[in-house]
Amino acid sequence: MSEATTSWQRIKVWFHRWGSPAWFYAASGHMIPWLWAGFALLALPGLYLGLFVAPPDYLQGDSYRIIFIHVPSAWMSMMIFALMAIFGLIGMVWRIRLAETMAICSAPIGAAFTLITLITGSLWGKPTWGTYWQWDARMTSELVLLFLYVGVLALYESIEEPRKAARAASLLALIGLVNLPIIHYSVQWWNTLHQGNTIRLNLAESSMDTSMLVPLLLLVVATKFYYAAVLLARSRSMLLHQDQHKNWPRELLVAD
Amino acid sequence: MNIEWIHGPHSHYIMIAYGISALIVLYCALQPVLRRRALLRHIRVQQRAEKISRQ
Repeated sequence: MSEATTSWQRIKVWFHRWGSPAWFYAASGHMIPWLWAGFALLALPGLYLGLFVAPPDYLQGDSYRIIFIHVPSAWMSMMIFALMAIFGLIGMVWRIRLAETMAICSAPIGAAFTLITLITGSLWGKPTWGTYWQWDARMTSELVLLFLYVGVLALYESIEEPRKAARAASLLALIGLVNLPIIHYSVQWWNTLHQGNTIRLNLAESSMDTSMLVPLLLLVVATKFYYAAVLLARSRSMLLHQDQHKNWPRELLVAD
Repeated sequence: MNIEWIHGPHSHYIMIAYGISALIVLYCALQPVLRRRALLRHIRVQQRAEKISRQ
């Protein structure tokens, strides 16, 4: 047997292991502390640089410092929705229970980031635009995203059988994907109060000074670690709740 | 260290934004941990009850 075939088989075995709740529970338990460490290592310097080192903006003064939580949260709110739909699709097509669990467990985290985006955006809007809220395309589409998250959670809770509920909620998440390009391009498609894109994929093209860009990027990456840690923690808790009458949680307690 | 903004006219907007975000982030992080611990306690109690009833 060639080395490539053996490696491929190893990958396949590793992938299939994720289908076992007991294995996932143990493996994620080892991963979570590392994810929290990554989050702390990035978020603490990011917050320090953003709040205490970066200079005030020439136009907005100090109120722009809200950007360091507003922008990472806004990006997370969209990224998590896309991931929720992808997990949902995997769950629907291959009937992988863990994918369904991860799709549902992503919803409250995404909703929390959307709520943070709306609250911080509104608090940034008051000193900058003179108003907390405007029915502007970017803000309205972000509010629709929050309603979609709430809808996914409400649909999941309304169906008694968890796997059927997860599939129905995943379908709603897939339909809701249509809102993501609307949020992203709203500042280009419509004449909005919200500013255009400041940060580009090619960082050299970003119209932001390095002293502000570095803490922002640190927090952008930190929120990814936060999401991964909380997603795993939520998935563990949900699997344990669903399987509490099965053998593996009991064996786990005996092993402890 | 630039901390002059703390005494600036917009400091309360910044502090409220960071405060509310910290609360939401903390709640989201702690809720599954507390739930899992409660579940484990519940399973342990059930296990003990089953053991006693068998005896």
